[in-house]
Amino acid sequence: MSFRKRGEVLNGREPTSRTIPGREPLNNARRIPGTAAAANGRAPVIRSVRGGQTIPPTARMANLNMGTPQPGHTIPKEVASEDEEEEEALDYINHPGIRPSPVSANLVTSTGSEDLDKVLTHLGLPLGNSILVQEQGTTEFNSILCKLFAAQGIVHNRLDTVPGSKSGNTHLIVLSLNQGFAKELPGVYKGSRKDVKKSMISEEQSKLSVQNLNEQKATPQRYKDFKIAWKYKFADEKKAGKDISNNETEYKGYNHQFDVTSRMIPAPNSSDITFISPIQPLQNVITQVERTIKTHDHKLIRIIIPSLLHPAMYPPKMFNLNGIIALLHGLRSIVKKFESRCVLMGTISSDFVTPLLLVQIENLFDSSIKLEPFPQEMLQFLENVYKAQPNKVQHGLLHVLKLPIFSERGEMRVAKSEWAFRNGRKRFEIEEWSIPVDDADDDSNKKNEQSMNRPEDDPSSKAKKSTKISLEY
Amino acid sequence: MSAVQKQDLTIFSDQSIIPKNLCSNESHNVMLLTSTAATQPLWLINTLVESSIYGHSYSLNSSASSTNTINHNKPINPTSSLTIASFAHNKSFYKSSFDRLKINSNSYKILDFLTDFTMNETLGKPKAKIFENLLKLFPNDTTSTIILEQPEILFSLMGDHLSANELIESFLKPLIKKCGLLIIVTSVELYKLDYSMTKDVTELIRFISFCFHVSLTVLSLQPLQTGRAKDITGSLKITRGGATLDHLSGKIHVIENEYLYLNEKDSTKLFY
Amino acid sequence: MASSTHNPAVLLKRILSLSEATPLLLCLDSIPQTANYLINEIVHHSRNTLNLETIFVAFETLNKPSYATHFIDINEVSGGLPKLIETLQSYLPSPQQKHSNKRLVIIDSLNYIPNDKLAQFISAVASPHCTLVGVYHKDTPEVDIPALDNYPSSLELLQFMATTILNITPALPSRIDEESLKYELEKYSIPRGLNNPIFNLKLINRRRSGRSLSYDFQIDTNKHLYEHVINNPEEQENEIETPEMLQGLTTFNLSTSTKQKMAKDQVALPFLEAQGLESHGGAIVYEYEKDDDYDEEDPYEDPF
Repeated sequence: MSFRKRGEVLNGREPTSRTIPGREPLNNARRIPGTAAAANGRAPVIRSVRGGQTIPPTARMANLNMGTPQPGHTIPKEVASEDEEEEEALDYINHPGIRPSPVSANLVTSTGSEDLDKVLTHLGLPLGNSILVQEQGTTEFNSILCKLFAAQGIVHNRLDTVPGSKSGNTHLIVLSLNQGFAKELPGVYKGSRKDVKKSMISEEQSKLSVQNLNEQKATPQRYKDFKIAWKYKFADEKKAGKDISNNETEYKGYNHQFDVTSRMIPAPNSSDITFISPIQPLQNVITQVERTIKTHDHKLIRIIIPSLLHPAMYPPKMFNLNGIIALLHGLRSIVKKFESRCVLMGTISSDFVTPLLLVQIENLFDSSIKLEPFPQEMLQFLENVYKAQPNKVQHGLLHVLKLPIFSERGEMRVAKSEWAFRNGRKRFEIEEWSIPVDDADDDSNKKNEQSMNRPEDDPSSKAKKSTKISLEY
Repeated sequence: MSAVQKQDLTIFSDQSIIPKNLCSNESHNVMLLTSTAATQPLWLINTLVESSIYGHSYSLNSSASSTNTINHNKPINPTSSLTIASFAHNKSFYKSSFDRLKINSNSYKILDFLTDFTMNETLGKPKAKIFENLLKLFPNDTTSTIILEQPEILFSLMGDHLSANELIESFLKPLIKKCGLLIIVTSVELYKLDYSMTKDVTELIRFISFCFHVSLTVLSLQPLQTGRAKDITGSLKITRGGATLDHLSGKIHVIENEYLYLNEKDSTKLFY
Repeated sequence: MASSTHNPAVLLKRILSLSEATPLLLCLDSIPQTANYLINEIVHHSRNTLNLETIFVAFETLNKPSYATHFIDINEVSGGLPKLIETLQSYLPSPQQKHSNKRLVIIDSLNYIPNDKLAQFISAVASPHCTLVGVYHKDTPEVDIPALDNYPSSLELLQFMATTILNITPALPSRIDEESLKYELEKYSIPRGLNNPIFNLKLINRRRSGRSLSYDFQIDTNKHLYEHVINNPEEQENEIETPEMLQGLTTFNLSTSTKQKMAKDQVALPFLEAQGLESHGGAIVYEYEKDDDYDEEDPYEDPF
């Protein structure tokens, strides 16, 4: 994988180049159809691949590696601010959190969870769109997504901000009474503990660890690359002939990995987040949101409504149609009014909301997903199956009810029980769901069914049964 | 998919989507379009708008690229107007959609009941005043067509309780009287059966049941029962509504039918 | 037994042509089959009545039907229900005018009249000289009035007050049954082939004697045909075995006497005993008889 970095060095004739290792080949691929320089661009790439093996990374590359052991996810602030400090306006090309959608002509921003971005198929949430995360039961997975969404916005904001300066590129509006929300946001994932130690020992070694990580991540990285290749077609149509250097470095700071056990340091302050109480009279909420958006002009606005209709926060009368629906209608109006620089995420526990209210709420969002955490028995079964790999146990199903842009156009994008999610320390993972096969069992289907209905005391007997069968093998 | 025969959409027995004489005499008519969250109605609204203006739908069954080459005929009835009012989508949503279809922007009017609607129109105002203001925005023309999307959202936007009877009497019926054809677009998902029969549920069901009873025909968009399929988006079912067509000259009737359709990349194909 | 000799179709025709004295004729309809065709049928039969004035009160209907002498659009009556009653009564004969023209008032539909005003409205309009044909959508829920917890629902009120009830149900195409229709309607999807000129009708007519007659019909409004449908309970009744049915079939005597029947009923059938043995599902019940050769020592002898 290292040749990519070296390729980057070769292409380093563009002074602003900040390419990430994993993305380099595609950046070149993009140039081929897109610009006049295409023909010229191809040759150096090939050369760089062949000849690059011996070229040592420059000091700058080493710098990059030290700051970001996870390739493709973060850029150190110093590097980022180098080119972008001059620009204060929301500039789609230079905004690290905005990129074109690979599947439509829209600009999108990351939700803070790379996998959720993929599930949305746009690799993010299109600007001017909203997403509702519903959750069954009393679990709180939705709040994780909410915090990731918030944290991502703050990281984008800080990528661009010169320390001490007030300007940024992103602003958060949180409709909640809970001011502590800001302090609960996760920090950027710094790599495993081992990596952190290693990077402290020496730069050389840290470089090695990056390679290790690269190898581990080989498959997902390539997968992602294909998606990006798609996107370039659109990007080309949109801004053919525009300067290459920007495109090259465009998506480096697009999404980040967060460590939910850590806290964001320094904690976000009023230059990152504005809190607005959702339980004031409707007029006040809407006016305040709109004023905040106008104050932060030229910034991407991420509106967040954590735990919509949480009974501890919302008074009973908000559960009336003319309470909550009127509020959401007003917010939808705002998101659409500022559709070039506004996104919204709301989360709700669907259990204490009547079906009627829930569909009315969902109706006012452009996209909607539903988390259905597994019941205890299912989790036990999965733990049993993945005894050797406890980090493979999924926590529940993710149903897609509406996708941004597509659903509105009339496409049928409901996908029930097609995805499963797992909330890990460093990642909210979403993967295709399939009932795992218990290798110890020769009749897995039957077994799965049994396990779903099995009383709690049964796993022991099941274990016994499994051993018996494995002995037969 | 190329093997599958594409079908033309006909709703009435004179092979039309919207009969010419529907809006030409003094009668008032209603059509109901029901959709779900999974099968949203934009393409069918486009089709109805085109049929209303040009007497034919150019976008249906054509691929997205070929629509660009079609030169539209002149509007069938240059004096009649079309108004589309939505509580769920803003002006630019429909504008860009109609622009893509190359519909002459002089032949329609978009009323945006989303943007700043609560702030400017409903907050702190009595119901009667709100309805009066809204009705003023629609042209008074019995040859015109009005498309109204999700009027049921009004239930949620009034400061005090709005009953279905009030909505019907103070808004829908006066609106019907203002035009020749009112197409009510509503998401039936919103009435998801809630056996608790609360006041809200009752009012919503009373509203939609009014819509069924006054409509000449019901166009219903639904996803397949079997779930998602690659080559089918859903089904379009055309059934008779509660109202009769006795008052129309020419003895036309509704052709009941069920189509399957595939919606992808901005184009929609209809087949059996 | 006047009713059984009475031809039900003739009675229905008399009702539809307003020859029977029925102040309130209640048409119960629903989304899959609305009352429009039936109203047209009433108009078809009654138009021969001399000097009939038809007053149409429209809560739902948008266009004035050709047969209506007066068309009252509820939206054009400002002042609500009291004003509507006043307007209506201006078209109706006063009680002093003994031999006035007959009036037909069609109301579409009674669902829009609040529950607490309904009884008053009906009694203000319906009279021997005026037939009130009221359409009521039986599938539309009614707004609950919290102050009137014990008051009967509008449907109950109307069914109580009506002298004739015409309950309309769709004639279902063979591919859908009641169950699937209900399921489809819950999703607000109307199956094809409904709201047809051909539909089913249950007629309940309350006679002045206090009796109530009930018949089922299939109506074809295109041809104005009414077919009396014998309803199922009677069919089942016919299937009960009577001695006469078995006479003359063979030369054997197949009929049973009362005494034989009683004896037959008292025989306990074997499976009844098994049902008494709860929770022993598949157990074999075996009773030893005196001739059984059973060896206690032999383990294989045990029939269980």
